[in-house]
Amino acid sequence: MFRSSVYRLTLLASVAFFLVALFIGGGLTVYNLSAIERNDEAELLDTYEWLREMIEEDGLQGLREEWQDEPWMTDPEEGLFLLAEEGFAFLVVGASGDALMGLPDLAGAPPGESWQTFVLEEHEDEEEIIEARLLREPIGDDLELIVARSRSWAYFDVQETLFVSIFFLIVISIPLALVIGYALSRRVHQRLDDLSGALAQIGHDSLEQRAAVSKRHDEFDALAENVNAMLDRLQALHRNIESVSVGVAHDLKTPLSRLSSRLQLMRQDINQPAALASHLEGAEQQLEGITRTFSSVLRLSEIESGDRRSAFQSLDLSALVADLIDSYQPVFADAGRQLDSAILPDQWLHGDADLLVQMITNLLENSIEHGKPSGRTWVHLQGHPQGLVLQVGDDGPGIPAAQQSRVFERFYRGDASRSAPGNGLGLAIVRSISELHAGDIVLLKGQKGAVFDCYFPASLAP
Amino acid sequence: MNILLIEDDLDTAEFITRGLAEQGYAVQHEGDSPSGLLAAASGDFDVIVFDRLLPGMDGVDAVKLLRGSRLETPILMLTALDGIEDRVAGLEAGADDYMVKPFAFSELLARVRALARRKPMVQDELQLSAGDLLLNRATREVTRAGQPLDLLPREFQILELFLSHAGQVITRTMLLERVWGYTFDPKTSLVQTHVSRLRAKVDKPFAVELIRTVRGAGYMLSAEQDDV
Repeated sequence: MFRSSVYRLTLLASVAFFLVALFIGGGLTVYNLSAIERNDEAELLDTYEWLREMIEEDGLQGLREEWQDEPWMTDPEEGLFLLAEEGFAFLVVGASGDALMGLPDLAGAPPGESWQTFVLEEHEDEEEIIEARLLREPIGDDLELIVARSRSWAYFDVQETLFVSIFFLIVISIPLALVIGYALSRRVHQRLDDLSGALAQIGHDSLEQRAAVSKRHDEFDALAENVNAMLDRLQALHRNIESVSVGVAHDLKTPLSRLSSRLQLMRQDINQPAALASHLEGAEQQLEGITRTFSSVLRLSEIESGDRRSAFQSLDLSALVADLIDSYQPVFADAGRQLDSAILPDQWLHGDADLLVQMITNLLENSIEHGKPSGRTWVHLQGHPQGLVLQVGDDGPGIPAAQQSRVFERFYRGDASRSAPGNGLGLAIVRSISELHAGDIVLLKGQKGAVFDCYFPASLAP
Repeated sequence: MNILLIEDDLDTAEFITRGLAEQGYAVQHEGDSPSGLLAAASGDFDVIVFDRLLPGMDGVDAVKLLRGSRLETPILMLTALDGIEDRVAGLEAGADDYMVKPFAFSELLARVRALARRKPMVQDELQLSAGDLLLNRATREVTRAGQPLDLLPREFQILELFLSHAGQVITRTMLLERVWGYTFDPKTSLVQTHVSRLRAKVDKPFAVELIRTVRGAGYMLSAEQDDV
């Protein structure tokens, strides 16, 4: 239990709290006690003054007459009782040092202020100890007055309060701190255990599971949410790797098996040069397809690594697109298609010309491949409140709604047969190039053909 | 023609050596950087074909070393790395051309020939010609048999490349790299389309065909009919 940091922290807090309480209580007590002492001292002086005035006015005889009926005037035992009960005693000493009147026990007091302890023997062997403050000063030339005042009750009350408080602090607050610390650490532990159990489970079994998030929105939920977000990302990466390796394997299977059959045919037709030549050509085509797939995968990873960003330059996207349209105009014409463009001049972008050309080329080739015969393809470059928008669209059959969300995935192909040309990486490369340029590419919904919009952030001309 | 091949993969080396020998070229093969550098420094070669990834030393560093010692022999670099940055690093180190494995032998042959016969003056010649075809670089005018030809800028660039390498095979990839500046391979017949348009303008109205398709390799412009 002591290994729990929560428990240790709670104990530490309790100890700190205890020390602070002790410090405050002690301070207040010392302050109160000294106030009481000052009060006692003042009372002693008052009493002394009062007696002195009486002696000076009426003389000792006057006092004796005043208090002649009081028992403590004659009996020293009663005098001690008076000190115990009323907190007051006095003694008048003559010039020769003999006690003239009052409590003889006070005779030993030194001049000035002093303390003296008296023992009052009560009945049944009980003793009461009385601490008293004494003041001894001469009156005139031949008399000395000694006055004693015992400590007031308030003094003892305050002392007792302090001791009782300390007692309760020790007896109640320390066990309470232990209990609260234990309960808190249990609670925190429970949640941490839940979380770490869930993580262990995920580590062991599958990335499908998620850590539970409660409705408390506390730090544990924040942690669980972050862990879940990390798991989502991991799972996506995992799926991605899976789809890439499965895609590569599938994509290579067909050309490899065709290559293998071409080689077998070559063995069969080894004496027929014409047939051999055609098999060779077929084999080369298959190998070319395999190389193309690998190049695309490598290209994709090169783009996604972001390394190319270091070579970004300010470039005139309008000129780049116009040049590309010029190059592709005859290709479209030969394919019996129409290529239109509307390009807003002088639009600049911070980027990689080679990659942007590849991105637009892939879109154009897609539209040649999948557009309807003698259809129309267009490229628009326009301004946009946040920057630029490049649109490449065609009036072909478009992409079925069910497939629209997946067209940018690697190795995804509309027809699952893999017999059609291409490797399903074209649009994945398009999207990764767009993302490298902080662009956002979308396939517009509800269009007649396939229309792609790519939004780029604005960049000023250099 | 003397060719130095520095390549550690024996299969590739044999493939290249055999192909070049069939063309009548003398090939010296070295399997690692140190002996390759030694041969390059001591021998007299027309072209050096240098593999980028060699045991002992990175090909880029080796080429830098050669260029640093004022060796002017054209260098063609081969690599399995298909990154543009690698291409740039190779060319910046002083290589004259750069090819990614795997490649067709015809592509290698075309590039080796282009490098070997490259005469520095050709780059600066104001007027290029083949037979009755004339191209003026300054005025950007092209005439054939005295008749002006109306070429688009791309077609002019292609013809300029053909003329400066007259009698040599120019491959599709070379055209993509040098005319368009593309380092990726478009799926469509971009090059074929433009070349056939150029041929329609340059050759069709005339009796003698100057630009010809070299099967499985590329194109060649030649005034002599039996050059293919």
